[in-house]
Amino acid sequence: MIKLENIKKVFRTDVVETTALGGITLEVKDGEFVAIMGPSGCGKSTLLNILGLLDNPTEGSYWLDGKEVGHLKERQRTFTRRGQIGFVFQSFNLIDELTVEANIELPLKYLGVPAAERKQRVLEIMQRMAISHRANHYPQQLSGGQQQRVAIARAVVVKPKLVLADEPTGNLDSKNGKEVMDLLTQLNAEGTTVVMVTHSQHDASFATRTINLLDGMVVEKTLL
Amino acid sequence: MHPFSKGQGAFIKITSLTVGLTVGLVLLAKVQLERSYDRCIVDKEHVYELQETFQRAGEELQQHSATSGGIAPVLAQEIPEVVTATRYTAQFGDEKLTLEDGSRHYFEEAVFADSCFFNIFATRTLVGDAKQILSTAGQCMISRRLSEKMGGEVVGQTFCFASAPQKPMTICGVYEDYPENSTFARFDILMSMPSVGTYAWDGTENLIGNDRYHSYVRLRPDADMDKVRGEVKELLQRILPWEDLKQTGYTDAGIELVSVAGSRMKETTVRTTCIILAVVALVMLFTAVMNYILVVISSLVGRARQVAVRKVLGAHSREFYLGSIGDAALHLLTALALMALLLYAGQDLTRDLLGVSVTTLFSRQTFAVLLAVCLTVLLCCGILPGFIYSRIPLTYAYRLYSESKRVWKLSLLAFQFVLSTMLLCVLTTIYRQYNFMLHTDMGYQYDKVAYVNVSALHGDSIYSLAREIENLPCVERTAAAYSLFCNRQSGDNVLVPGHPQELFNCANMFFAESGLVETMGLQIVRGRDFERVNHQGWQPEMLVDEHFAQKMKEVAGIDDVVGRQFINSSLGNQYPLTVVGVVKNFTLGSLVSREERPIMVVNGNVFTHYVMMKLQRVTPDHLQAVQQLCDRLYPDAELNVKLYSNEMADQYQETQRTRDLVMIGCIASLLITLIGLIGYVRDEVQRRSRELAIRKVIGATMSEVQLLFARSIAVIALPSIAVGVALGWYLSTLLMQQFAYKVALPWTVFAIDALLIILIIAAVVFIQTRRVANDNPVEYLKKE
Repeated sequence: MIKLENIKKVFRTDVVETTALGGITLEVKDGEFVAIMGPSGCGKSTLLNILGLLDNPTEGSYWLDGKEVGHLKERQRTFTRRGQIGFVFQSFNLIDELTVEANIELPLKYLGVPAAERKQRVLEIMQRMAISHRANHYPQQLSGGQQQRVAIARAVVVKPKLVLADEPTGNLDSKNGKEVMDLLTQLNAEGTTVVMVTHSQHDASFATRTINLLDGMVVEKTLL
Repeated sequence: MHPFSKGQGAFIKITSLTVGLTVGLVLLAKVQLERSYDRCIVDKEHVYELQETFQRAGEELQQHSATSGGIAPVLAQEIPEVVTATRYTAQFGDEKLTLEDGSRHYFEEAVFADSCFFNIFATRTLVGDAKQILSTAGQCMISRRLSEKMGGEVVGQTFCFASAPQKPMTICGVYEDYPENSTFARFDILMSMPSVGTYAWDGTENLIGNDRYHSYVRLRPDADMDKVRGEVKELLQRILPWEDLKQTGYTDAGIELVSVAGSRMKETTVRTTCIILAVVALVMLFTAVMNYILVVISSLVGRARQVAVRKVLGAHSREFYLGSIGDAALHLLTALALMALLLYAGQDLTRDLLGVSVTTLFSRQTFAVLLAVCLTVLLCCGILPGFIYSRIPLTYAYRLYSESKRVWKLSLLAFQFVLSTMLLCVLTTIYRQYNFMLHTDMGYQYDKVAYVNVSALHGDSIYSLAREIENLPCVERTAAAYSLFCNRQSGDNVLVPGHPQELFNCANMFFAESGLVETMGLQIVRGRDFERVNHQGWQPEMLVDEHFAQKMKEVAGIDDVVGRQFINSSLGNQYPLTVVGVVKNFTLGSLVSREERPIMVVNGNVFTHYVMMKLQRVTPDHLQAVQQLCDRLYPDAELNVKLYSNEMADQYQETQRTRDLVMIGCIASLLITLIGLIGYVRDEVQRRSRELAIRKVIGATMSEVQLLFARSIAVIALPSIAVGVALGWYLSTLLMQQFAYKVALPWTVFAIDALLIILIIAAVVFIQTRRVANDNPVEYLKKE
């Protein structure tokens, strides 16, 4: 599903040049649940952004489903991302002005799914995430765990092949954290590829493979 | 919190206030000047203008704002309620006079005025005894500015007018200039009434005819107007030659007393223009203030935490009010200073646009109104932000203030959209009306016509000049003429020889040469053109228009006027004029003061004021060739070759001024609105940057992000524009009331205006959101 070859990412300012990724080569197969770990500043989030087509690498190749996507333009990246990749963030990143239902519906709208089908799919996913009773609430009226469930619902409502999660339990207590990890595990069990950045050894234990990063380089790959 | 610190939108606030105040205050000052027009009239409430009325059999009663010379003195003598009376009549204007030392000086207007002139139209007498001067033939008073132009010390000197070189007049006094907002602002020379006979036919004692005098009376404060009107009627019954009047076809004649108090604002043109200017001014001020408040609200995202922290530390609401009023005062003063600079730099433009100087605009007459406006602006810009700050909850000291207040912001923007659209619609209407007036077919062709005012020349020299000009290769035809087609023409009554009854009044163009038809592109429909008089003189023959021929058929049963003789009341019975041709109807005057009477013109080159010429093409070279010829032949006469089309455009100067003022208002209003819109979008982009990033992450394209903003603006902009169009249409119809000949107001024009505003708004939104829509969403999410 994912193949990276010698991916480098360098951030440049007028005076400083910082290498975030120093040449990453890795592969993620369909249906895998991969955890990326490492200390702060090792390049985990940068790698996730590149995997999610939110950012382009400075060098190297990135194949997604056999297609080179490493150097696409913004518009092409957007179209490639749509419907293929779902995102779950540590800080949930829900839109405060939209209700739970509208938040979940949004990616379907951008995908051009007809209204009736959108409604049906949103209802299904809300039931599955156990948030139907909160459909008309706004994000700030929900607990952290509920918000993250909404974020996961929004990420998976388009039935993506790949879900990228950036420290999905970072803002949650252990009970809600476990619920989220159970959801991701369940999605993975249904065939969705999951790549998750985490600090938590506990969360990483839900993955089938762990990749450790240090100073922008892969230092260890562990099969669990 | 420094009022000029970054993030407070000080630049936008000051720019808006400067533009709004400059246009708004200037226009309000102009309106105020119109409201205080002719303040120099003493005891204005009791001063009345005398206007003659007359009626012919089968025709409507007509009223003219002039009388015969003897009317005012008779009323002063015979009506007990009349305290004082005066009259004046114009004689010379826009020409030069020559002092006895040979120096030549331009003056604006010279009128004959009687000795009571200053009793009603007050101004200070600087030198001389006004009563005595204006009672003595050959004496005059001049304005201070003319005196200064002549170098001062001019009392006792004599001068001659360029158009009356052998008739000296002595300067015996100097008076203070009349204010610019008065009827008498252009008066440079007041000649004594007994001097009339030196320069023109003396009709100062006439009770009927020669009705060229502007006459005024002041009544006693306790005068009963009904009684006075009755007395005037009774007096006229006694003194007017009723038998003669009846014989010449009049059934009634009278004098109407029209109050001068508020008379300026009763004129449709002035009133409508004032309404339009006041609306534009208020729109500008309102828009500027709203923009100020809009920026304050928009900057709350960045300022709320500071305010909340101050509150936590013990700041009282009063301090926020005082602080925001202080900020507003500082911004207002800066804007006023910039306004002063702008006005100083654009004082010539201001004078051209408003017809008054900047110093008059901001004088004692307007000071109170302008001060009140500035204080209102200060209070609005100071108190409202203070109120908003004082209501920020303390808790915002500890968390991000992201309250959108979009309803507020969009409401303010909505007002601005309404007002800008309204002004654009009015501007389009005025623009189209001006073009309509300028390009309407007047029945003659003037696009290649130029002319020279030859009032300074005499005798055969005019005839010679016309022929010399005609010999130039760039000139097709010339004609010496008494008047220009766009000027107001004298009126004369027409009679059939042997019949005493005056049949109708016609516009008499007096004398013109045979080249007139070709030069002005007139069409002869019956008969023939004039034959050229090859010397200075005239022939007793005339050309008339179709209207004349038709009228003659209606009132005298004459089927064909060609070859028939008629009497014209100016030339009298001894000079019957034979109609040699009928020309297709054409329009004298302009569309503002269009001549409705039949037209006649006599063959000749006497009493000529103008040499008119049809050029092969209007080019600077051709005009220069004619000018060089004039300068070479008559170097002292200072002849100026001018384009007739410019003269025509001058007829519509008021409309042009209104158009230009509304255009400035419209551009300024649009500018302020766009500044507000840019500020709004910028702040919304900042406030919603996280949301936009999220939307992009989950699949929104650049155009979808931009559309998101466009939709939120469209929701408010489209209804606002619709309201603006409706208001604009209403104001346009109001504006059109002042024009006798008006352009149609089709809905398509208003639709185009609306579309234009929509496009401008869309362009601003798309340009402003382009950056955020293009940016990498990760950057925004990182900031979170």
